[in-house]
Amino acid sequence: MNKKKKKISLGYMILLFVIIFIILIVFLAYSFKSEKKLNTFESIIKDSVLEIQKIVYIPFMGLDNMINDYNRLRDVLKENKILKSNVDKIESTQAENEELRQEIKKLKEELKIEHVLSDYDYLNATVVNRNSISWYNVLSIDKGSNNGVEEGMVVINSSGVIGKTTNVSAFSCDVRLITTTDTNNKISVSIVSGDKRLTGVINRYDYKTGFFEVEGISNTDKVSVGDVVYTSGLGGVFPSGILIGKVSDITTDNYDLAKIIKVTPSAIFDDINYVTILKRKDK
Amino acid sequence: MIILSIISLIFSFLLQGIITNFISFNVNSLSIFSSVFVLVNLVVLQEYFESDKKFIILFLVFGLFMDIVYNSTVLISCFIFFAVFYINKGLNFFLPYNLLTVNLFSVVSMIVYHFITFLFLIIIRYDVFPFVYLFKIIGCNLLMTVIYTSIMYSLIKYIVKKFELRVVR
Repeated sequence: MNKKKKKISLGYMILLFVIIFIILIVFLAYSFKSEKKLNTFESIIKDSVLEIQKIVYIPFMGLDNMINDYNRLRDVLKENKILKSNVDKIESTQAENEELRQEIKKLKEELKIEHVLSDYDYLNATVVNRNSISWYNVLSIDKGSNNGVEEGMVVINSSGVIGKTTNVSAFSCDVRLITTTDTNNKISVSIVSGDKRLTGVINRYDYKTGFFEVEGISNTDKVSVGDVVYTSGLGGVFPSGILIGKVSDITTDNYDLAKIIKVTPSAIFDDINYVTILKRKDK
Repeated sequence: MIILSIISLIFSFLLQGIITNFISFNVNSLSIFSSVFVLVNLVVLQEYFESDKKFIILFLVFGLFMDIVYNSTVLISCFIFFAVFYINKGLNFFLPYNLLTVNLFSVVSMIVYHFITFLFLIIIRYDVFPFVYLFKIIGCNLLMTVIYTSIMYSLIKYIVKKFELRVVR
C-alpha cells in the first residue's frame, strides 16, 4: 500500500515538473517578445532599483571616469595637433556637407530608403545597469517613456549601432544588443565596395570569433577585406548610414552561390557607458 | 539575523550590476571576476535559517528582483533559485556545513543556475550559444564564486558570533 502511494506521488511530481517546465518556457518566450510591455509592478521595482543603483554607482563611475580621463589625456596632445590642422578645412567641409545633403535627398528617393539619420532626433542616455551573468545581452539605460522612448527604437554610440530599446518603463528602458541572434533583430546592411553598394542581412553573431555574419550577397559580387559595412535603411527599423563594422573574412556557402561575409563590429560591446537613442522626428 | 541576511543580499544584488563597471559583461569576452553573487550569498545564509518557509520567501523575492532588474525575464530566476534551494537542502542533508562544503554548494548552485538558463535559452531559440560557452561561463565564474563564498562565509560567521545573532526559526 505504501509502495503504491510512493509511486503515485513520484508520478505526480514528474507531471508537476513537466508542467512547470512548460509554463516557464512560455514565460521566457513571452519575456523576449519584442512588443512586451512592463506592467506597473515591474516598472516600479525596476525604476526604484535603478534609481538606488544610480546613487551607488556614483563613486564607482567617478573612479572609472578618472582612470579613463587619465588614459585619454595622454592622447590629447597628439589629437590637438591634428585638430588644429583640420580647423582650416572647416569652411570647405561645410560647403561639401550642403552638397552631400542634396545628394542624400536624391539618393533616398532613388533607392526608396525610408529613413536616414537626418530624420532622427538624438536622445543621450547613460547606462545604469548591466548584468554580469552574461546570458541575456541586455543593458539598462536611464531614459524611459517619460523622455519619449518607445519600444524598438534604435540605440547607437560613437562607434556604431548597439541595439534596440525594449521593456520601456517610465524612467528607464532596456537595450537588447545586436549581438543577440533572435529573429526580431535581423538587420539589413550595405557593404560599400568601391563604387558599388551591396545589400545583405546580418544573419547572426558568432560568439567564437566575435564577428557578425552577413548573408544574401551573391558570389559573383566583389567584396574585399576592409570594406565598410553600414545599415542600409531597408526594413524600416534601422536608419541608413550607421556604421556596423568592417569586412574581415569572406567565404562562400555550401552551394557556392552566396558569400558569407564576416564583419568585425565597430562597437565594443563590453564597455558601453553612454548611448544615444534615435527618435523619429515625425513621431 | 533576518536583517543581516537582507542587508547582505541587497549588497550582493547591487554588486551584480556594479562589478560590470570594471569587468566586461559580454559573452564574447568573459571575465573571471563575475559570478551570481545573490545566489552565492543565499547559499551561504542557508545554515542560519531553520525556517524553510522564510528562506524560500527570500529566495523567491531575490529571484524575482533578478528577473525584473537584470534579466528582463518573467519568473525564470525565481524558478532556478527555487530549484537551487532544494538541491542545496539535499546536499546539506548529506554533508556538514563548513567552509569547504559551502564552497561546494555555491559552485553546484552556480552550475545549476547557468545550466538551466542555457537550457531555457536554447529551447526558445533566444540565441545560438555554442555548448562550449556553457562550460566557458561556468569556468569563468568559478574563481569569483569561491572567493565570494569564502568572504561572505567568514564575514557572516564573524558578525553572527560577535553580535550573538540567533538562527531564524
